[in-house]
Amino acid sequence: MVFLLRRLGFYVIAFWACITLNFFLPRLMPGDPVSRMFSQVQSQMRPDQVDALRRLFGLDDRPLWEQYFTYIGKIFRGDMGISLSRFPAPVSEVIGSQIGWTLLLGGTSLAIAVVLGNFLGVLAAWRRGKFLDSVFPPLLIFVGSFPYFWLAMAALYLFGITLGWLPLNHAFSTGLSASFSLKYIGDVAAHLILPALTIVLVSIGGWMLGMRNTMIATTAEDYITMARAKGLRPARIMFQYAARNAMLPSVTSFGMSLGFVVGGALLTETVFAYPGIGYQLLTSVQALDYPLTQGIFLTITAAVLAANFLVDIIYVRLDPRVRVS
Amino acid sequence: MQTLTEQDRGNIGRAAAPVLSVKNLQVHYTAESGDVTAVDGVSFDIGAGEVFGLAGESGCGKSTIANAVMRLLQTPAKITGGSIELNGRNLLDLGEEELRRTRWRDVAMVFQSAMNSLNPVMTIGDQIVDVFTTHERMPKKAARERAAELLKLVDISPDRLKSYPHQLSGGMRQRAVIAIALALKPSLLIMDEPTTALDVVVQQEIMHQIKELQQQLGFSILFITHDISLMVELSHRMAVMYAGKLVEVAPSKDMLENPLHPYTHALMGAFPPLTGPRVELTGIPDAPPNMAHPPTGCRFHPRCPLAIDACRTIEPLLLPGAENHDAACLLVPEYVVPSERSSR
Repeated sequence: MVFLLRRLGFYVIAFWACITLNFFLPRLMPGDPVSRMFSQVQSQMRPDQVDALRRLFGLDDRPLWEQYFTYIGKIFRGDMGISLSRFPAPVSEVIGSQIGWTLLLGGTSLAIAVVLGNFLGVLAAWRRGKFLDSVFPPLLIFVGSFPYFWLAMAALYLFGITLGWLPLNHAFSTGLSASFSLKYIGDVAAHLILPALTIVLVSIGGWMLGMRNTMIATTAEDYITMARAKGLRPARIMFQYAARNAMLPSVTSFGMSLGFVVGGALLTETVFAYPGIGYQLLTSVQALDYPLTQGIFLTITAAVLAANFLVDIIYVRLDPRVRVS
Repeated sequence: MQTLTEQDRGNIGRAAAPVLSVKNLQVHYTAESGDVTAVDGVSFDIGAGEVFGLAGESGCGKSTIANAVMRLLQTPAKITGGSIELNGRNLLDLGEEELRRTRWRDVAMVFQSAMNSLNPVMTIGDQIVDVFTTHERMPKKAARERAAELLKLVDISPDRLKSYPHQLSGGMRQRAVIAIALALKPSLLIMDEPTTALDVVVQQEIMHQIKELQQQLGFSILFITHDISLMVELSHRMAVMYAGKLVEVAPSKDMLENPLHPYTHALMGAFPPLTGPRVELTGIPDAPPNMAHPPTGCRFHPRCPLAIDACRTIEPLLLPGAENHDAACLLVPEYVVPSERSSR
């Protein structure tokens, strides 16, 4: 418990550091969003309009520290300012409209890749040098080393165009409206298959190989020999004794990946025209939409920190040795 | 430590069928540089309730024998010949499933490193309980009660059932392992250097406890160590191993008082006696032989102070050198008795 509180304290400080950086970085840059808008509009903007905009963006001539506290207060109310490229939509709304799809796509593909990859890794290590172990790792690494966009487009061409089994783009068919009907859910699932499948294909090899290698090291441990000597059933030794210990490093990488899910999958979103944060981030950077870029960065940071804290909690449950240190 | 009477010593290991009977065991390790014979034609019997010691330098093959008896050897090690009979059943003939059932029920093992032989992410209790649930299909609750009893047997408080290995001291961990080993009351317990990783005080406590448990429960022990004084204290009979072969087998007391083989002599001189006057310790010159190319003739001859020319070419057999006392040395005259031994 003390351990978790200490970790939580660490994450709170890390988050504060992020907010602070997020606040100061743009203010260290020359110019401000309003002058940018002013030049974009390239037309007349009355001084009072400019003033109003400046107030809207929280740009004023108050001392920096005062602005800083206002900013922090706003962040905690979920107010991340106004998007420039999607003016006058608030940043939180822009992110909110996309994040669901990002979480759905990233979460599904990560879950599948992690579960399946680790399971294959466990089996491969357990039957070291047998069929699974000699065929799968090279094959998956081979597939994983294709440029992602190429693989994604090949899959799209094969399953979407040539075979016509799966929809080509978007997260759901046009004309459908969001509801909890079976039809809508089925449609979303069908649209999810190709993007998720391609992500799983390129990432699963890493999970499998990582697990296989730790697992091989673990099976050489004395407690595995003792478990065999105890006459336990092979399945129990494999999971409860070997995999249970070998999964610990895997949990750490899972936490890292989980945090970055929120960053979106830019290439996937581009190839499959799938809505998501990744594409949003790209456009916001191109459009010099600072508030939105900042908002997305902050969201990603918060997600990475939250995911790491989650992993800490899981880790404490999984590894009793962490509890004392 | 209780001492045995002469009569006890005579009876032990002679009456009835042996619990473990190893005959002409051959174990090879396959290496790129060629095959290595780790165990070469080793034969010995362990009687019911007997503590049999196996001594020798590191790498002489004693742990390989222990792992062979448990059938735990994995590639590149392979048993290439001989038989290992446990209670009359040849372990080398057993299939995977039969072997799994036999392990721990008939023969259990205490491993060298207590620190590493327990699963770090499972409680001590769960690691005892899974022996019962696997082998006896015992319900969890009953198994937990049995586990508590076992811990009491080795003087660990039952509330340690919920502890993880890292929460116990080295000595406690090793005692917990001993408790797990005794869970199914096996007829043979193999102890592969059970106290090497522990300090001398804890070592004495544990050895004492093993002795007590052995007398209480009556199991046989195959006790492996390189610590001769410890072995003499605990075991009824002992064998000295050198470069994959047994060089001397005798009751411990005889071995201590009257070692026949020059190697045993040297080993005895390399350890301080626990009691009696101080004696100058003598080491054994040179290192153990490279097992990929063992010396011809007697494998000990390059390091033997008494070696004669014949030792270089003639391989000595393990033959009686005195009553109940076998040695494999050309310099030890064969002892002939008109009893069953003369048939050899």
